[in-house]
Amino acid sequence: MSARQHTEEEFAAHRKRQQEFEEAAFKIQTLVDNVRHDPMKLRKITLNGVGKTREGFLRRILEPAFQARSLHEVIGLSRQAVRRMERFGIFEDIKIQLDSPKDSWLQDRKDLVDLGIWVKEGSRIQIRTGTEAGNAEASMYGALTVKNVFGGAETLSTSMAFGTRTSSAFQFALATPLLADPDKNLSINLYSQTRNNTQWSSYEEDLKGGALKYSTLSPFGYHELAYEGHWREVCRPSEKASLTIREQCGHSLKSALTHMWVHDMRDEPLLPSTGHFVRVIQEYAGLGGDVNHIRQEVEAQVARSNNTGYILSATVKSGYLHSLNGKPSKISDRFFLGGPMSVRGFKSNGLGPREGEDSLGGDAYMSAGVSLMTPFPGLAGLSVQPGQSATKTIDDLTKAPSVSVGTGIVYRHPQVRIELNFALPLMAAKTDALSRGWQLGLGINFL
Amino acid sequence: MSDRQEEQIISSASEPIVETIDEIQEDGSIIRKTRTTRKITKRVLTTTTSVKEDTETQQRNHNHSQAITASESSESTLKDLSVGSAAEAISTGSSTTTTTSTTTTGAATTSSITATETAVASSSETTESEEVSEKSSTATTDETKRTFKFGGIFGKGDVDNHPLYRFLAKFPLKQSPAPHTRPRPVKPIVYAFAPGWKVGGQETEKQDNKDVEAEKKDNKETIIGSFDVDSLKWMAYLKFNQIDYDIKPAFEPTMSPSGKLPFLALPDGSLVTDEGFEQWVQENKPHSNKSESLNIHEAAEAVAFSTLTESKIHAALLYTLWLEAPHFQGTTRQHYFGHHKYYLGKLLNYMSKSNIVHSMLLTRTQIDRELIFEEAATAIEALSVQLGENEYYFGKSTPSSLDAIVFSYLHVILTLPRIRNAEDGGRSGELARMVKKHENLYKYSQNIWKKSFAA
Repeated sequence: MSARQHTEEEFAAHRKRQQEFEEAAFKIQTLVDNVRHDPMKLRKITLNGVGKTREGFLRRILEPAFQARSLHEVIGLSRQAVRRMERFGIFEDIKIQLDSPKDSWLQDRKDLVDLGIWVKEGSRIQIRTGTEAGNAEASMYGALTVKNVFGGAETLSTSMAFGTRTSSAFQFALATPLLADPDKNLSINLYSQTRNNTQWSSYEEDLKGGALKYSTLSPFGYHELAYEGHWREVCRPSEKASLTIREQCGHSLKSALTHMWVHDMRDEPLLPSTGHFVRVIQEYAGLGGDVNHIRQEVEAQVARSNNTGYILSATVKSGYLHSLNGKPSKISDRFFLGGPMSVRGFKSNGLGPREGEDSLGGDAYMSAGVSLMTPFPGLAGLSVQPGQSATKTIDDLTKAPSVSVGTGIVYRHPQVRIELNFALPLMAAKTDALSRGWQLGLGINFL
Repeated sequence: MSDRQEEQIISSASEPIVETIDEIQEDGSIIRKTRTTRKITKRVLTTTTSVKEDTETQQRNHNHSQAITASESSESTLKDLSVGSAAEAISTGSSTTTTTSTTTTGAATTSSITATETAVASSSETTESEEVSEKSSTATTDETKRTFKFGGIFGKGDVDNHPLYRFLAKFPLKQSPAPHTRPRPVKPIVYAFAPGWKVGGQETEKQDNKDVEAEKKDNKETIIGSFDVDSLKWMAYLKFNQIDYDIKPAFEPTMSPSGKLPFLALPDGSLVTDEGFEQWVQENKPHSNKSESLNIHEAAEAVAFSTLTESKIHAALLYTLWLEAPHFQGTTRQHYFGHHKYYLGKLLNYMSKSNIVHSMLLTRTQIDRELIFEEAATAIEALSVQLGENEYYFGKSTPSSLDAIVFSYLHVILTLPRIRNAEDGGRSGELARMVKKHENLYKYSQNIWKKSFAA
């Protein structure tokens, strides 16, 4: 009997404590609620622990917090400012504290509050090495990144990569956020790379160039405006290269303005189950240089799923290259179609105009894919894909598409999507390079 | 034997006649059609006695025709395998035309069938051959191109027999025509540094042949000659051997399989580079008894002189073009990199120059102008003495390979623009002056130009 009494007492005490807690919390809540809309201003922001970061830069970030007029706004705006600081990635740890001013002559002022921020700046130099698998290519890379070079969250990075498709690539980039806004970015890139296209077109391409990019986020999506200057050389045709490829060998200069707009409302990019995605890329080449053209590429994807796990997704991709000075286009600018990431059932870049064993690329292309995924452990898929590539006119595009159908298994790895498909081409042009049967695809962007 | 109405229809085919026709399509491409014509004679034999004798002969003929048919079919499939892309042009452009004309003369009906190269049907029927041949042609082209990569996985034996492969071979169910076909060239094409000389920017030597070359402002003009020694050498050699060719201007040595221009693209798709060039010309020149060949001594001397030219005079020419400022910045850049933008051209020019210097340093320890030009002068004198008053070297009436080599060097040297620049004191024209000192070389070069190129 004494044991039972003991527990009953404990139980009563516990409940009393809980009640007290609730009452105290309620009191604080009402206290804050009452005070919330009282006029209050931020008088001073003190930053501790800042070493390299520039004062002007930080001032721009924290400036909006001074516009708070009530406690509610003070708390809200200071939180926003801190979040902005976090997004630059240069601080490891940020702690804030709101307190009444410490100065003696401001003791009476109940409407002023000071904000104290304690930061710890992250390490500036970062060296990374590793291997990377992307759209059907794998590479080894080494990168050196210096963050916050000039104190304004600028990033300087130098990287080197050696891979299967891009034989070697060197890149030097300097990026800086504009107006202390992590969404607006201005960057200068200089790169030199060699792409190995011998597998489908028997040539290699050396590219050296630079780009000045400005990217921003707007309510419509992500925009990127860039100016690119490239010096490319089509060289080293393999033994079996056809004459048309040999005639393409040589240097060309491209000086172009590009604009890219991305609107991504999918739940996730690798294997979306809901949402839609639109990407439009335009390029005008003609500010000097050898090539003068307009190039346009559009990609759109829609995904729908039902509760039982079936996902239906459809993708459309199309591009058009129009030469403005009447000269024929160069192979470096043309579009290629086909492969496990694009129209399945055909060899990589095997659709469209071909000569011998070389794919020449086309000036216009259109491709679409529809897939139905079932909730197999690992998502099996069934897909139908028509695709067509043409050099001459828009009429050619709609004349005779190459269509394939297939089924397979999709595996979604956190970084990459792996597909094993059994695809059969239903309709094909005489020269298309077929890949009947099993096809393995590994990458990020699938049609 | 009684008079039995035995009707025997036996057909015999004559030897096939192959004719090649080039047809120009509306869009300007040329499609080559080959027509194989065979006369198939059908004999309807009714009497028995006569049948016996005739049967033997007929059977012999029949066997013969079957043999012809069989060999023809194997020939055409072999051709399909080797010709590759050219075959596509043929098969896409060709159509099976069947013309049947039946004339009954008594007991014999003769029908002639015309079929395309790939369609070989050992048929004695007339109308059915059309569809059959079309199918067989696609089947053969199919099999030669779309082979299975892992054909041996399911065991040895015929790949087609396995049910999986038979199923897979059905796809694609429908085929559409190829989006791009390259018209096959009719003549061999020389990819060379061309055109020859252009007027503009620099003063040019006043020579008779210059006006002919200079009239290339209009693109419709035919291209003759080249500013590059090797290219001109090939063109001259082809002309001397009366081989007809087209010229395609090319400025990228990397496009050639050997890494050096010029190279030759033949109509059947193969390419001829430096090593095989002379042999190819000798094999393919039209046979005539006009050309006289050199005897052993002359051949040895020819080798000696050509080596002399290609080392000594070549070095001096390289020096003038690449290592002396006036020509380097003007003539050479304009010729070899003029089609690029200005600064890119300059950059590539400098890169080429370092390559040239590197190659020159392979054969000598240092590049000494005096020595090079001295040796060149000696070489030129030797050539002049050897030529004497002859029209061509060794007194032949038709030019030989040595003539091609010497002519190309002389022509390029003589047609370098004269740069009126007081700074260099006339050094840029030194090589040309050395050649002009020898009247016979000057006349010789002009003569060959007039005869072979400008004519």
